[in-house]
Amino acid sequence: MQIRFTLNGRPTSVDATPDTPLLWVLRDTLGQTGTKFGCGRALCGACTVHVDGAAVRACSFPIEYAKDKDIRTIEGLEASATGQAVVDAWIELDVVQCGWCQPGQCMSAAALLSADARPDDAAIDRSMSGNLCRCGTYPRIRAAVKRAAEILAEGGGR
Amino acid sequence: MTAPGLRNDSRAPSRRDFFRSTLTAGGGLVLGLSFGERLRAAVVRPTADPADALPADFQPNAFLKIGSDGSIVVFAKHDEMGQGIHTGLAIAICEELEVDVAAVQVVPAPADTDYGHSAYGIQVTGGSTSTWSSFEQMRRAGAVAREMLVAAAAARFGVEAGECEAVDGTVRRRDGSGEAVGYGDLADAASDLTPPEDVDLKQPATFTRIGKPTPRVDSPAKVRGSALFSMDQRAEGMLTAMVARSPYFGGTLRSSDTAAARAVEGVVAVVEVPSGVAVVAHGFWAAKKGRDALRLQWDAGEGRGLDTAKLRSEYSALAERPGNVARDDGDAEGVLAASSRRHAAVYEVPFQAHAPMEPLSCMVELRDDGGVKITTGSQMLGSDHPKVAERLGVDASKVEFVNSFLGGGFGRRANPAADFTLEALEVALALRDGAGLSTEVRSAPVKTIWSREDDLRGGWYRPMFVNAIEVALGDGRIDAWRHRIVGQSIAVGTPFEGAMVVDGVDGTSVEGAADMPHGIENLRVELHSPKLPVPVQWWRSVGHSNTAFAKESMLDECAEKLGRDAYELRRELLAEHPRWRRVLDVVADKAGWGGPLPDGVGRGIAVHESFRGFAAHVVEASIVDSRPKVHRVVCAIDCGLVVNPDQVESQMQGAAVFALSSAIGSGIHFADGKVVESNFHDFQLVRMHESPAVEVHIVDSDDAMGGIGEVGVPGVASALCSALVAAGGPRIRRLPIGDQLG
Repeated sequence: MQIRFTLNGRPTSVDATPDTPLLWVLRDTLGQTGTKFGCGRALCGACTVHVDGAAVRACSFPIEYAKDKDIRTIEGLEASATGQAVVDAWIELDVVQCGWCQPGQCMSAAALLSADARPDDAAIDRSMSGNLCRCGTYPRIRAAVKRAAEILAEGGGR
Repeated sequence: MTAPGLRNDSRAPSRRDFFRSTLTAGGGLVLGLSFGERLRAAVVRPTADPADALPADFQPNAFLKIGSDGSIVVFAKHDEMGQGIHTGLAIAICEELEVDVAAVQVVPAPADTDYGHSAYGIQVTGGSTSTWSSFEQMRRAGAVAREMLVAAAAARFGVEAGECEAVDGTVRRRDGSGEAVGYGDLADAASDLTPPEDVDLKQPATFTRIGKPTPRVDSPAKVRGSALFSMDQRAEGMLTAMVARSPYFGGTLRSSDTAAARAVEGVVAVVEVPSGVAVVAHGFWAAKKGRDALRLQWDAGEGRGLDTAKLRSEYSALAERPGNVARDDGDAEGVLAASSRRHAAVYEVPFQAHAPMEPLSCMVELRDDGGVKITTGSQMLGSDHPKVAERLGVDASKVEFVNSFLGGGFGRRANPAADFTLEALEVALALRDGAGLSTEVRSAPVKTIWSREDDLRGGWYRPMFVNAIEVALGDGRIDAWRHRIVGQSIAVGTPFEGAMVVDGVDGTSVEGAADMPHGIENLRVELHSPKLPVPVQWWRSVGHSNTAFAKESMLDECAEKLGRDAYELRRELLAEHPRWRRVLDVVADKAGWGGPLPDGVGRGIAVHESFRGFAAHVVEASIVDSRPKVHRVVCAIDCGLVVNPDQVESQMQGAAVFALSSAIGSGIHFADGKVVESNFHDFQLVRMHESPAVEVHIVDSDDAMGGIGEVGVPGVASALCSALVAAGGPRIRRLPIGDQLG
């Protein structure tokens, strides 16, 4: 079926079987590979995207539910000041190791910061525990979320 | 005036000869460097007519290319799987080349003997060896280029080379005239020069990049999602394959009903391959739905009845019997037999999956000439490359490899059998030969993708081990120590068996135990290597991931029995080993060992050498709701000269979290012949809310360079378990801790 939605601000239309997860529409149909596959069961968060501003695991989100929604992925994260601050903080603190989980981490962090401009450790625990990192970059992720909050408080990213 | 090094002698040694001779001689490097044909072509001028010629790029060796447009490309011989080696290699080159790391582009090297490991020979990234083994080679590569650029500039200025210096990507005159020329403008002239016979490397005191915290070269692309990993690689007309494999190791396909799979929209073929049945489709989702629709019957074969409880019992029984001797100092048996103060304990670790966040994938494009292009994420092209050529029956020159960023490796992507590479090749071959398929399908690039379930159930684990340690205690000391290890060999049956197995002892099974330097006079280490159909291989820190847990746990038990402090006992035992003792002292100091702690919180300490690196840990933990709660990890590392301190810190932080996962929640277990775990709900890794603060202290060291990436793993588990004892919990001797505190 034909499904229309907005992807990173651009009207987008795809022909896909309705149960196809948004993740595979992004990766296979649209060639947008910044959103990663890690578990296929919403257990690891590597595929986190925003659907109407909320963090969603794209591996478990059938494309039919994307109809008329506003989808944002890592490729479009920097369009917002929050997203820009997250990306800047991640680069400044050199959070990444292998990097596979990090787009999903950034999407979760941006969703958190949109809801809570100064998240404390407990808020970071609650919002970021759905995103696994096998390399173990959590200490730096925690620091980068706080750094992004600082950047935003100072008046936004670049 | 002719600048030194500028020769017109046609008999002068070629660059190819030069690198074979000088790099082999320099610094004890053992590989014979040839100049890769693919790369050598880059220095050939694009047109024969000098008048029309575009300036040539300058490619002084296999590791570096300076374009006439000023671009600088570093070809990374080691694979970037998170450890920061692309940045580390670039730092070493840039230090000598006199250019900022931020100004170079680092790309993965292709499969080529030029990129053979300086100690192992074949092209591989592993064993925490990349930094120390390639450090001088990279510096030399940068220094040769610098000298040639300086020579080219000197010729242009009409002065001696000694009157010029390389600074920040330019060569300038030392006369204060300010006259300078950029590397890009020198590339063409430099490419005509003969490399110098020898080069001077910079004195460490003059380093401006080595040893300074340096941003990773791959951060921006990885954060923004534009970095290409294996699974992200695409090709025109690409198909996706998923393979249904036997749920039993050693099992075989008895019968298959593929009709429902073929009927799934998007599925274009279902083909048999040696490892099972491949469903080939347009995209992952159709491939997965097709695979789910397969109806397959398997004969269990050798794997029938595999059961972890049964294995534990069998291994424990073996541990009561003498094994092959890996070390035998003094008379451990005699002293144990005569002792009235013996203590014995059994320590167990399960099979462990590497579980890199990026599941495995490999794309294969068969070529009409019998060759192939393989796009993958591999730690060991040096094994994959010849194995693919052998399978196809073609010369290795017909096999092209494109490597990618690795979404985690931890050893899994350095498979001695090239398992996921050859399987992907088999899928492409079966597709090519498939009956009734269109030419388009048969010639399509095909990418085989593993699901998480495939990854966790696909084998090649860190082996399960049972350790039986018995000690004889004297007056405040350990008089005898006997450590029996039971676990599969990862070397037997691989091309590395000859080098790794000596007198029936796989060195990787006993590393960290048979080489313990604790000055115990009567010390015996024995090994049983039972054979199982479960495929096993190296997993981050290899044998040390087991032996350090057993050794350090028993040292803590000895301290308890002797009424000694765990730190003080280790200090005494390691008195003759300054690098061990230094990290131990630093970690104790920084952690405030012996200082007050909140009620219910305990500390544990460990120190271990692995991969030429030395690490000590203090873990602070408590027990909350029958689960371990880790509050803080303090770590000290001595890896000799440090190239990028920020990445040493990052590796040690990550290693601590990685080690906590396998200590607390993850493991691979068998029931009814099959793997129990399937995804991250039952293969439980540490998550953000469970992740402690990790403090890293890098010890200033003039000693030999050593490993980093794996060195931070081994000591963590026992330090945690001893912290839990100090917090009032039971002594945990079987990992993962799981629900044993309940």
